[in-house]
Amino acid sequence: MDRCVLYTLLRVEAALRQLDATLDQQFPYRDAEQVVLRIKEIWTENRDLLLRTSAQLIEVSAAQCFRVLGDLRYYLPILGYVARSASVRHTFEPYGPLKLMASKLLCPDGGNPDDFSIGLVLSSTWDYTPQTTRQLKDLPDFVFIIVPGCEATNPLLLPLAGHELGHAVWERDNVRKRFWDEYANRVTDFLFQSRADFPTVDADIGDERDPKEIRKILEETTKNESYANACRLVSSQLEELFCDFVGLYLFGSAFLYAFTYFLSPDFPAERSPKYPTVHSRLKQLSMAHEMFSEKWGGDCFPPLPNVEGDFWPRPSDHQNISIKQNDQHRKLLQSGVDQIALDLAPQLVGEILRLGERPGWTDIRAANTKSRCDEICTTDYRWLVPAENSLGIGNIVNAGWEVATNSDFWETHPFLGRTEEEKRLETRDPESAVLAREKRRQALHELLLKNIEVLEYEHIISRPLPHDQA
Amino acid sequence: MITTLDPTTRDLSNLALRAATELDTKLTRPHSSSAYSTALAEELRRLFPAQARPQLPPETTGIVCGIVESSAEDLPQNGYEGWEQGAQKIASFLVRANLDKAEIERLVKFCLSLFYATQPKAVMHDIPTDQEHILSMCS
Repeated sequence: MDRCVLYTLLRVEAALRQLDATLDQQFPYRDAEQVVLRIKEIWTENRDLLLRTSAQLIEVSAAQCFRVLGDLRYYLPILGYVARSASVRHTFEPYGPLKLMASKLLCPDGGNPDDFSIGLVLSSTWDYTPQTTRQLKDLPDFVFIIVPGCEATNPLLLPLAGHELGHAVWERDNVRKRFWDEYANRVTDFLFQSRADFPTVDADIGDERDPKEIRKILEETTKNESYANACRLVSSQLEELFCDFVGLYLFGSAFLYAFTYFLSPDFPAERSPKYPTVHSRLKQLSMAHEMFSEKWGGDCFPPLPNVEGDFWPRPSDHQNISIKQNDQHRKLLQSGVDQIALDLAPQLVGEILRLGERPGWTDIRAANTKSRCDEICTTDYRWLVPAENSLGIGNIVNAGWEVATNSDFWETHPFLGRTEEEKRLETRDPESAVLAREKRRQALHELLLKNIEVLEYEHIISRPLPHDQA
Repeated sequence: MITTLDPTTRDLSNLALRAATELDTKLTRPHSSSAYSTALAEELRRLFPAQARPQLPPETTGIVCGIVESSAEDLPQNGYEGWEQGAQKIASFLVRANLDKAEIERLVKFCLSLFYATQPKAVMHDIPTDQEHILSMCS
């Protein structure tokens, strides 16, 4: 065991050396550096603990090594994201406005959103999906938003950060706990109704018929995987739907456009049971939007674009193959889980309606309106000019999507417009069509990033100077 | 298996390991600190209130309760009542002043089981798990 402790020490020291190398680089914002310093504290404390360790029982010594190594494994990817956050391939303009949005969103109930600040790290990954982290132990006041590297410079996809911020809300507000009883009871009902197809459940329940007693039995039978698995999957699906609703709340139609860009025609791999189907998510977004619009009006939540035609279920769902008994069992459990999550979706929207009354959430919502977005398009973006007083990042990306989805938007623009001859040329020569599209895409992205920069500048100069506050 | 910890059980893992370390120290220094053992005892009492279901997410109730069940011998009842009594029994041992070697080792075993079962495992949301061509030595 002494050698095991020594190896663990060496591994921590190697990680600390890499961490120190990370600290040598320039960070674009303080939050990233703060994360690295915090991780350094944790790993250093762990190293010092191992140096002092003199456990009598070998299993305690082993557990200490496991914990230290667990912390290495836990934080090393986080360190990687922080290191990558400084890459010049990223656009740094959205950082300030997104941090402001996140802080308003995550301000605790009863707090002043103008005085609250959350740490934010924006980074990228070689995985082809936006990601975030759970609330990290020892870094609970930081949020990580990680986007696919190839899309890191695309401001039109900023709304996907709304979904990731939803995970932060779900955890910090402990939303899941409010649904424990609901989904546990519904899973119990489902398993009871389907008990003939779940022999172990049937055996456990026996002749019991009282739903409360049945739930107790299922929880008490600790080897009963069906109940625990079903609860886990329902909880996960509820979380994903909740995050979609938060994205919709924060960015409106722009979230749906970004969702469509990223997930149409369907998720390009085997469906994970932890997520509702893409089709279900679209339907629930529509339902949530109706409830938002009814509560807060059509200027904040104008009608959503019709994107149904952009989706088509993945071919494997059409296959009619003979499946084995355990696959049938899995599919039955999946169908039960899917239905429970959909049945609870309106209550998730209810949570958002409740959260939406908080000052920070109200600030965000009030800033993003269709009327302002339309003005930005017609007055400013028509001439490729960033708008003053855009009020919120939601207005900017919504205006951006209005432009992006209208191929004739810049037809009369002196630099981006096309003559009839040029249009005819594009139909004959695909390459020139690509070049023309690329020119407009670059122009739009630069415009949006510049507008986000203007938004941040306006926010900075609106704050009182330190000597004004004294 | 991904443990879906929520904030109420996130620190249980850390607390359990610290209590195990403290108890281990008592094998040679019987009057050393019991701060973490006491804190773990309090947490157990909070998680297993009288005549109510455990204060744990439904999907992880089985994991933690299974450990209590196997660690507290001769539980008179099954189910919620049994777990509550088991947790109370373990909590009272954790705060006892004079423990013999066998009792310490049993408590250490309980604490370590709890540590392993409640360690936070999955950190990333939305990370794809379908990269069958990306192989790893150990996960």
